[in-house]
Amino acid sequence: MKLTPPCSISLEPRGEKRPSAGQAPPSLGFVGTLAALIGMAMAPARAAEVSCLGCHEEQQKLFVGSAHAQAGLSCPDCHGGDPRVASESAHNVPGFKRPDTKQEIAESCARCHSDVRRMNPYGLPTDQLERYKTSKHGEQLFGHGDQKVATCTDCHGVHDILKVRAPQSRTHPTHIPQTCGRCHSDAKLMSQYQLPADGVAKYLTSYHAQLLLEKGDLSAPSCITCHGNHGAVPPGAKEVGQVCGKCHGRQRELFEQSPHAQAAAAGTFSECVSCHGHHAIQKATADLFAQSCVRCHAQEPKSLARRDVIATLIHNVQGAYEHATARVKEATLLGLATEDQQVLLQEAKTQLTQLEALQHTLLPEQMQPVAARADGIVKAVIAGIDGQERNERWKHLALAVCWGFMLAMAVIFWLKRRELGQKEKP
Amino acid sequence: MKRLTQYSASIRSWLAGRYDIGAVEAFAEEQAHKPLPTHVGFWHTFGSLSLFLFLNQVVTGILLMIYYRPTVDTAFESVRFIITKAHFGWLIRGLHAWGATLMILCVLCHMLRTYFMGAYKKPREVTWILGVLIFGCTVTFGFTGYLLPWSQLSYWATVVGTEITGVIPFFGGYLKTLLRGGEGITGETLARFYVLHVVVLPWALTAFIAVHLFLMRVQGLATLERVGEEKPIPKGVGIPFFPHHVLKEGIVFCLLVAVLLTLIVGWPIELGEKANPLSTPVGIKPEWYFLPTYQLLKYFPKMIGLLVSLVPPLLLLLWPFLDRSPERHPKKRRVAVAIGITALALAIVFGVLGHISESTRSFRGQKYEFDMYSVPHRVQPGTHP
Repeated sequence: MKLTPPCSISLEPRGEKRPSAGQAPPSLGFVGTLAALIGMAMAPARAAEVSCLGCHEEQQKLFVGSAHAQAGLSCPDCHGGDPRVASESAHNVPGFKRPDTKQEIAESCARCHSDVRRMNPYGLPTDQLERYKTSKHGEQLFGHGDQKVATCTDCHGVHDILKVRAPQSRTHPTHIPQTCGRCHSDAKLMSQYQLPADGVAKYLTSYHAQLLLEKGDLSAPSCITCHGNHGAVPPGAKEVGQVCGKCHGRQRELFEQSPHAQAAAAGTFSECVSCHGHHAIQKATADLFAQSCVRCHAQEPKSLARRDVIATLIHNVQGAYEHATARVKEATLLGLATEDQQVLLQEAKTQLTQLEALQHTLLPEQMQPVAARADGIVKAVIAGIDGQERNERWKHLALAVCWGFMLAMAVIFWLKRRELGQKEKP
Repeated sequence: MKRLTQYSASIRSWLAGRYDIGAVEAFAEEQAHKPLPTHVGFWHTFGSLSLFLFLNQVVTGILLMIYYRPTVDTAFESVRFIITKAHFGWLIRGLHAWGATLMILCVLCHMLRTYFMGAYKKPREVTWILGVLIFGCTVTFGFTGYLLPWSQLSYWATVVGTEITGVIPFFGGYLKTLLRGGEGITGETLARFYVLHVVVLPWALTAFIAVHLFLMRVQGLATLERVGEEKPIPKGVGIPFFPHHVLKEGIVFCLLVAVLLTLIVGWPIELGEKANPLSTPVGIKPEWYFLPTYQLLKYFPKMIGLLVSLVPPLLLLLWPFLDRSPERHPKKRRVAVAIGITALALAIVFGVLGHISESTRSFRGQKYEFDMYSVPHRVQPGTHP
């Protein structure tokens, strides 16, 4: 047996020189045996049986680190051909495939990825192709034969496909905006479909992107969270609430109680998007009321008055909470016991979060009790800190008494010393 | 009062029946009334103030040990408990933390007085060397004690402080590992510093102080006369130790206690945040008494800096043997006095430079950013920081 480096592909035709069953392998010596064992442990067994490397070295380099290589696949599993032949004639066999169209690529991948038995050990779903066919990409490809739309390899790569959870993978959550943006930020390409090309750029300015890309929060949404992955479609106006509600469930539930829910049902209000926008969604603050409501209600004093009540409630509780947090931090650094106040602050934060969600009802009467509870807790925090600071003041009083005593003692000692000095004068 | 006198007499009588109490009384009487040189003034009280502060450190240290827990998980929390929950814990910790600073200050003043009055000269060289060792022990106390609260500042100051030992050739790496108990500052370091702080250093310092005091009482305080020309002070000429000098010490002691309490109440030493080895705070600096060395080390490559910073303590230790002049009076030792003043001025200058380095300060309405060498850079309005 010819020894090959780990993870490389042998040029020897399959089966040639291999010992038959029951036949002892040729002696390799100790070092050779050790190297062979290491090679066997590190290289996928089937990858060492393929002769494609002679011509396709570049592809092989990409392939060795891929998820498919780790799973023990090799070139013939996708391309067919005769791996025993180390020349171009290897292609000249029935079953050799060189996927020429994107449909063929999708179907080629689906041969395994739609096979429940094969995918079961990896815990992978098997409906990707079916989902893909329902996507805009799939509709264009399978319906119109459009070769410019994305298929499996456009997003996952070709020979160097990595598992989604691998940090270098094109489909890792942090790389999704970049992967989608390869086409969706191409103004020329997008203009052919009358699609905007600034979606990804806008997303990158959003709070969602900040969470995902700056804070590394992998639960924060990327493109596929809202649009889907294999079944990627833009959510319609009526579906936006459902999409956002996947994460913001409580807000979605409360929104249903608001006057806007009726307008959304009537198709005159675009649920979350009307106030928050879509790709460039920013962290919502009470200031959003000042910008959003006037777009539709500029001429409605009653609606604006309700807006002011809601915004003021939130603004006041947020301000009071921040003030209390700062006081507790300051007191902690000064060495005061603030454990009880810190527990209360957690409770105030819970009330504030609840209040922020309740604003989606647009019903001040539902918000006021929560705001009052939060306010009461914050006041208790401040009162606790004030009480401790008052206790600190007796220290200053005690200090004044100490100074008085020490000065008196010092004066007595000084007078005694002077008296002694005068007595001893000749 | 009469009854008290009776009790006292009975105890004395009980003791006299068993021990030679008369000899002890005679020794105490002699020591108490031993005449001191006539130039002894308020500057001579820093020694006894240092001793008082050492006793303060011992007593408050024992009290702190009741609640302090020297592990990474509990050190910070236990100190927080002491200052927030334990009865008068804030006072005990304040007395210990501010007491340490004042002790270093008093020891320094005592050394300066000894230096400028030439009291280290023959026959008191050993007393001086012991004094230098006492000073070394005191700052080592400060260094080891600084880590114990396990706060961000204490953790990172110790990282910086122990890092310098690594540059010593040949055994620097070993010494650093020995000091830290591993590669980084961990629970092992905390345990080592705790043992040094509460066991090794207190006994070492007690021994040094005991011999220092013994020599001082046996040889008496130095006069301002030339070496070899000191005359014994006749009774009735010098200042009696008791009550004259003790009264003087009493005055200074009262003021020191008042100042100590003011510092505790007015400027409580903040505990800050718990140590986080993954987050380095900006502008980490050591305690004030290490600032001159800290700043000096920045101007030299590590190894040279270490050698340069070893010069002052070595000079201090060997000074009685380097200064061969028999004169004691400062007016007759102009060179030595000039060297002393220059060294003091340099220490203050480097200390101030260390304090203002890596900070942004305003001067006459203009913002300046001081780099690590304390060179000011004008900050243009509207720029960061």
